[in-house]
Amino acid sequence: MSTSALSRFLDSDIYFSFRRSPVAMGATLVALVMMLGAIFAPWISPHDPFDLRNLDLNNALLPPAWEEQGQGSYPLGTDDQGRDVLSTILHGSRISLLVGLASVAFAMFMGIALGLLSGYIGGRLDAFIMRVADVQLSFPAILIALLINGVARAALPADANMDTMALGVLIGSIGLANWVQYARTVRGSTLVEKNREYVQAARVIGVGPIAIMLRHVLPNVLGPVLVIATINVATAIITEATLSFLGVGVPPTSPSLGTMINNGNNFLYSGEWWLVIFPGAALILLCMSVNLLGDWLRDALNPKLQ
Amino acid sequence: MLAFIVRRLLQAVVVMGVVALVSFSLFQFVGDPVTAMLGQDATEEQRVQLRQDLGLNDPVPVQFAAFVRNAVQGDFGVSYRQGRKVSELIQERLPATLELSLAAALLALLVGIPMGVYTALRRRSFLANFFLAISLVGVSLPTFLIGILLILVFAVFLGWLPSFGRGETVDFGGWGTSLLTADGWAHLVLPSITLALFQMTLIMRLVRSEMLEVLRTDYIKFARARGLSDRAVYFGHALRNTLVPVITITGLQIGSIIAFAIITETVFQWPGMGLLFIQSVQVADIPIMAAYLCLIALIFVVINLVVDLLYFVVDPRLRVERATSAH
Repeated sequence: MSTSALSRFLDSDIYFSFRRSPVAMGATLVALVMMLGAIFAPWISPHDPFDLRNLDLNNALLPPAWEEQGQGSYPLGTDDQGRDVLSTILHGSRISLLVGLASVAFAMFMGIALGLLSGYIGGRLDAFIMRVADVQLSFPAILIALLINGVARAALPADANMDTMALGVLIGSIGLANWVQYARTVRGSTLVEKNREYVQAARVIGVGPIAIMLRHVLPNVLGPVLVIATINVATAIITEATLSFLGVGVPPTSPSLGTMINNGNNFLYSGEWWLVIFPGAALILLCMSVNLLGDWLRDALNPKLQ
Repeated sequence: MLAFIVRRLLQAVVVMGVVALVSFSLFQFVGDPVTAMLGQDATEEQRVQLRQDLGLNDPVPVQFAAFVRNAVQGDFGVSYRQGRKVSELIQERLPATLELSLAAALLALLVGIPMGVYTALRRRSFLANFFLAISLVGVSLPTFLIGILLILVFAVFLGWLPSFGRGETVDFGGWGTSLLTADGWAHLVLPSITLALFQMTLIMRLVRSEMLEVLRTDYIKFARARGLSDRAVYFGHALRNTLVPVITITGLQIGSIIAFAIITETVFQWPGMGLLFIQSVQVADIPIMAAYLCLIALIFVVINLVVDLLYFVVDPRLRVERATSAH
C-alpha cells in the first residue's frame, strides 16, 4: 500500500513540477534543514541555553567565533547572559514554529467549522458569520491579534502562570485573527458541493447533516484550504515574531526568534550586531522558504496555470 | 442608494457598539479602578466616596450608557499610570502618528507608482527584475526587522541619520509638528521608509499588473495606430486607467498604515499613539487601551464607509446591481 502510494506520488504531476522548479527544491531544502534543526534542538545544539548552571557571565556578549575575541565553542557568539546564540536560535525557531503551526491549525479548525456550517446551513447563521467575517477582514490581522492578545493579557488574573498562559494566549490570538480566509474559502466551495448529486444521494438515504458535512463535503473542500494554510504558516511566524518583539508575545524565559531580536535591539548601539543579525537571518530564511514553498504549491495545484 | 447608505451606516454603528462594549468590559473585568487611582493606602471613606463619584455603584447598563456618552465626547477618563487625562495624552500623540503615516503613504505612492510603471514597460530589463526581487523581500521581511536593519546600517554603522524619537518639534496651535525643522525631517526618514516599504511593494505590484492588463486592450492598440507617441500612450492613456484601483487600494491601506505604525513607532521610539498603546498594554493601563481601541476602530469604520460610498459614486454599474438585487 505504502509503496504504491509512494510510486504514485513519484509519477504525479506535482512531483514532476517539483523536480522542474529549482526554487521549490531550494526552499524545501532550507525549510527542512531549519525544521529539523528546530525539532532536534535539544540534542544538536552545542549548549543548553536554559540550563542556568551552564551560564557564565564571563562569557557574556562574546562576538562570533571568527572575530578576534570570539571563542570556538560559541560559533555565533553569546548574548548578555552568556547564552550561546546558535543554541538559542535553534531553541527559538522551535518556539516560533510551534506557535506558527499551532495557530494556523487553530485558525484552520475554526475557519473550516464555521465555513462548513455557514455554507451548508445557510440562512441567518450564514449571514451572521459572514458579516462578522467582513468586519474582521477590514482590519489587518496583526492588529486583531495584538488587540486580542492585549485584552486577554489584561483580563487574566495576575497570579496566573504566565509562562504557559502567554503561549496559549498568543496561539489563540493569532489563530482568531486569521480564521476568516479559511471560512470564506470553505463556505464558497461548500455552496457548490452541497448541490452535487453525491450530497443529495447521502441526504436521500438519511445521513444526518453533521455526517454529510464531515464525511462527504469536507474532503472535497479541503484542497484550497491546505494551500492557504502553507502560506499562512509564514505569516503566523512573522506575526508571532512581531508580537514577541513588541514585548507582548512569548515570555523571555523561553525566547522565540522575535524575543531574541527584541533583546538584541537593546545592544544595537553598543556594537553587538550579532544579537540581531543571526536571529533575524534565521527568521527571514524560515519565512521566505515557507513562503516560496506555499507560492509554488499554489501554482502547482492550480490547473489554470499549467 | 439611500437604503444602501443607511444599511452601511447601521453596520458601522453596530461595529462601533461592539468595540465600545469590548472597551467597557475591559474596565469591568480588569483590576479595580479605585485601587488603581487611589493607590493601596487610601482610607475606606475615600474609596466609598470615589466609588460613588465614578458611578461604580450604578447598574451595569447605566454604567455602559455613561461610558458611551463620555466616549462620544472624547472622554476616556484618567490614565492609571500617568495620572493624566487620556484625551490629552492622545491629543499629544496623535500628530506624531498622523505625520508619520502621511509621510509613509506619500512615499509609497511616489516611489511605488513609477517603479510599477517601469517594471511593466521594461519587463525584461535587469532593473525591473531587480525591483521585483526587492519587492519579494519587502513582502516577506517583517516590518520590525526592516526598521532594525535600517537603524543598524544608517544610524549605527554609517551614522548618517538619527534613529530615535521625533527630533525638534514646532508647536502649531496645539499640533506639535516635526515637519517644519530640518532636524524633524532627518528623524522622519528612516521610520517613514520602514513604514512605507510594505505598501510600496504592494502598490508597485498592483500598478505593474494593471498596466500589463491595460496595455493589452484595444484602445491602447488604437492609440498606437493613430501614431501617438509612446509617452502619450503610456502616461496619457494607460497609466490613467490603472490609477483608479491604485487609489482605492491606497485609501483602504491608510488604516493599515496607521495600525502598522505601532510596530514602526516601537522600533524608532517614535512618540505616537502606537507606542502609547503598546506601553499601556504592557502595564495594563485600561483607559488608554480602551481609548485606542475605540479610536482605531473609528478610523477603520470611517475609511471603509468612505471607500464604499466612493465606489458607489464612481461605478454606476454597482447602483444598478444593488437596485435589482434588492427585489
